[in-house]
Amino acid sequence: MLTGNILTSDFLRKGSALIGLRYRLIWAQARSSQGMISVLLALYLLGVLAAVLISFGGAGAAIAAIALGKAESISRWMLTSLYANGFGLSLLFGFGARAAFTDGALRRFPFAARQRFLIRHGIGIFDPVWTLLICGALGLAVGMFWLKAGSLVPGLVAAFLFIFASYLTTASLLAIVNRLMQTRGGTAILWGGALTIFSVGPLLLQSLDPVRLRLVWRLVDMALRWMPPGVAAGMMVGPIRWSMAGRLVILVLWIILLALFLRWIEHRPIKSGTDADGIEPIMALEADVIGQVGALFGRRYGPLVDKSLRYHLRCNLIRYSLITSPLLVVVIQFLNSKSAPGGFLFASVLIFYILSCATAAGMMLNLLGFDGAGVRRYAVIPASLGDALRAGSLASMILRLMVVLMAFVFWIILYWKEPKSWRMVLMLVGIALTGTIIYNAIGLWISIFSAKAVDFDSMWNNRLSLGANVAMLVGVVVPYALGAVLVDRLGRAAFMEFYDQFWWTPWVTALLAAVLYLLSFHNLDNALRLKAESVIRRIAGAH
Amino acid sequence: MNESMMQSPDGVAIRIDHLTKRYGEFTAVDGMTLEVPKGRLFGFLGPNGAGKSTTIGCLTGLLDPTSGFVELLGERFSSDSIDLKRRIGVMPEGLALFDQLYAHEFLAFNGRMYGLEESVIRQRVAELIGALDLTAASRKRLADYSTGMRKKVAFAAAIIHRPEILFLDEPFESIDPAGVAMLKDWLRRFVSDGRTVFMTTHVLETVERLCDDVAIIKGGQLAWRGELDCLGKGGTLECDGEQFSTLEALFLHLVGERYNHLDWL
Ligand SMILES: Nc1ncnc2c1ncn2[C@@H]1O[C@H](COP(=O)(O)OP(=O)(O)OP(=O)(O)O)[C@@H](O)[C@H]1O
Ligand SMILES: [Mg+2]
Repeated sequence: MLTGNILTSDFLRKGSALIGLRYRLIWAQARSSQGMISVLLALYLLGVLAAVLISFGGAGAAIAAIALGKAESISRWMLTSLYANGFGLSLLFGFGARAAFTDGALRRFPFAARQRFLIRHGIGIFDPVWTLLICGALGLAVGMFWLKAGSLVPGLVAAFLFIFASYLTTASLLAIVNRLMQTRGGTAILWGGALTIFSVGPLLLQSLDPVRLRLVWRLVDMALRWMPPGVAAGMMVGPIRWSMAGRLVILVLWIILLALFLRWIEHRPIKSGTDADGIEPIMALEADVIGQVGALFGRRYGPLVDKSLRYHLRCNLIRYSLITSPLLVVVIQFLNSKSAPGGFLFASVLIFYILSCATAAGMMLNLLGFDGAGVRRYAVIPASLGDALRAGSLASMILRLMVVLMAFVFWIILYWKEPKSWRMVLMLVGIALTGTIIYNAIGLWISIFSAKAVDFDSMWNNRLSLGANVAMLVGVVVPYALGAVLVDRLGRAAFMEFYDQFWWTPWVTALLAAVLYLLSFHNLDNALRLKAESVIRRIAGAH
Repeated sequence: MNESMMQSPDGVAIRIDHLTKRYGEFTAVDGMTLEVPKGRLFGFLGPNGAGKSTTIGCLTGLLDPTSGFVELLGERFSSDSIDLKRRIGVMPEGLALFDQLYAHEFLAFNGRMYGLEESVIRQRVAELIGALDLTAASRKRLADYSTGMRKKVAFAAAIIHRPEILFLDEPFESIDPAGVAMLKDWLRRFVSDGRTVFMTTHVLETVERLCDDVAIIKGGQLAWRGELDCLGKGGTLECDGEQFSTLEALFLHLVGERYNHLDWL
C-alpha cells in the first residue's frame, strides 16, 4: 500500500508546512489572478451543468424525470460530464491537476520517494479547479437528497471519492501525455491516437443505423455504471441499501488502481529529448529550414525570428498545443445538430474561431516569458527589446497560420461528405484570420503589461498571466455567448439569412484586425521602454 | 597614474559621471565618477553587494541610470544606443544565455545580431567551440551544460564580433585552470591593440597578475583607484597614507577584515 509507516508525525509536520507554503503561494496568486480565474471557471462549470440539465429538457423536466425514477441516469451523466471536464480542461488548457511541487523541487527536503508522491498529489488536489468540481459533485449529492431522491451520507462520501478518482485519472492522463511528448516518436503516437479516437469513432457511429446506435449508447451507459462517475451516481441516488457497500468498494478499488498506475507511470525513466535531437554541430547553421525562414526577415529581425521559432518548436507545451489545435476540428461533428439548418456551418465557424485564437496561447501571449534569464540578452545586444517582441510575434503568427492551414486540410478531408461552398470556405478563412491576427496583436501588449516567467520544460505547471487569462476567457466566452444568444433569439433561419448576405464580413474584421496588429507592431516601443526594466526583472529574476 | 592618457578625450574608453542607480528607496550606485583609458585591462572590485554588477548594467544597457551619465568611446551611452552596442561585448551577471539553443546556434545568433557575415560567423563559431573545448557537448542544449561550460559560451558570445570594449562580470569564477589560463592570454592580446577590458572578479591574484588598473568600490561609491604596474617590480600600493604590498591587504584594509565565529559550527 501507499501508506504504512511512512505517515510519521515528522512527515505530517513537514507535509503541513509545505501545504502552508502552497497556500501562501495560492494566496499570492489569488491577489493577482487566481481569484479572477476561479470565478470565471465557476461560471463555466455552472454553464456545463446547466447544459446537461437542458439536454434533459430543462430543470423542470429533470425533476420530473427524477420523479419517474431516472435520477440515477441524470446523476450519472452529470458526473460523467464533470469527469470529462476535469481532464478536458486540463489537457486542452492546462488548468488543474498540476502537482503543486515538482518531484525535483521536493528532493532537496528530507522526504522518501513515497512521501514525495503523497505530498505532490495530496496538495495538487487542492487546486482551484478541483475545489470547483468538488462543489459540483457535492451540490449534486445535496440536490438529490433535497429532491428526496437520495440519502445524504452515502451521497457525500461518493462525491468526495469521485473527486479523488477524477483527479487521479486526470493526473495519470497528463503524466502519459508528458511522457509521450518527451520521447522521440511520442508526438506521432499522440497525434495518431487522438486522431483515431476522435475521428474514426464518431465516423463509425454516424454510419450506424438508429437501432444499432441505440444499442451502442446502451452499452456505453452500461460501461459507465462501472466507471467512477457511474458508481458514484449509484451511491448518490436511492435509499441506503446493501448494494451501496459494493459500490463503495468498487470506487475505492478504482482509486487504488489509479494511484498505483500514476505511481508506476511517474517512475518510468524519461529519456532526455535533448540528446535525441541529434544536430550536426556546425553544418546545421546553413542547412536547416528554420534558418532559411528566419533569413527571410532580413538583418534586423531575421536572427530574432530564427531564435524565436526554435524556442516555439522546442517547447513541449507549445508543440503539444500546435498538435492538438488542428484536432479541434473533429469536435465539429459533436456540435453539429443534424436537425437545424446550417448546423455544420455554425459548428465550423465556432471551432475555427476557437482554434485560431484560444489554443497555443502560452507563447503568443507571453512572448518574452519563455526566455528566462536569457531575456537580459536583448538589452545588451544591438537590438531593442521591442525588436525581440516583434520577432517573437512574427514567429508565433507563422506557426498559428500553419495550424489554421492544417486544420483546414483536416476539415476538408474529415467532412468530405458535408456540402460545402466557396462562400463557406471564405467565411471560415476570414474568421480564422481574424482570430489569429487579433490575438497576436493583443499578445504584443499582454507580453509587455502582463509578462510572466515560465518554466520552459514543464508541460502542466505553468499558469498564464492574469492578462493572458482574461484575454483567453473573454475572447472565447464573449463571442461564443453572443453568437449563442443571437442564434437562440433570432433562430437558425435568421442566421442562415445573415450568412447568405454577409458571408464576407469576417474579411472586414480580419482587415481591421490587421490594422490593429500593424498599429501595435509599430507603436509598442514607448510603452516597452517604460516597462523594460520591470519586464526583464520579472522574467529573469533579480539578475 | 598615466595622467596624459586620462585627460585626452580620445584616449578614454569609458567615462562614468556621477552615476547613481536606485532600486526604489535603495541606492545601489551612489554618484560614482570614473574614467577608464583605452587599451587597459581594468579590474572593478568590491565586496558582495557593492554595486559592481549594477554599474556594469548601466554601462551596457541592462539598466537605465537614475541620474548621471555614461560615455563609451567618446559618445553618450544609453540603453537605446544601438550603434554603440555594436562596438561593445558583454558577459553579464547571470550570463543571459538562451538556454534552449545549442552552443553553435547561440553563438551564430550573436554573430548575426552584431552584423557579421555568414561565412565569418561559421568560421568563428567553429573556432570558438573548438578552442573552448565545447565540441563534445555540441549535442546538448545550453540548459544542460555545466556551470563552467555555460560561462565559456557566454564569454565566446561576448567576443565573437571583436568588440572595442569588453565588459565581463566575474568571467573566471568556475572555469577550470586550463580554461582560465587561455582566457587570460586572449584578454592580454585583446588589449594589446588598444581595445579595453572592464571586468569584475573576486579572485585578487588574477587581478594582480592580469590587470593594469583597478578600482575598488564599496557601498556604491568609489573607494580606491590606482595602477598595479608597480606591484610586480617590488613596489607598494598607497591608500590613506599607508603602504600595502598586495592587493589583498589593500582590499581588506578598505573593506574591513571580518572574522566572526559560529559557536554551533
Ligand atoms: N533589482 C534589484 N532590486 C533591488 N535591489 C537590487 C536589485 N539588484 C541589485 N540590488 C541591490 O543592489 C546592491 C548592489 O548589487 P550588485 O548586484 O550590483 O552587487 P555586486 O557588487 O555585483 O555584488 P556581487 O559581488 O555579489 O556580484 C545590492 O545591495 C543588491 O541587493
Ligand atoms: Mg555582481
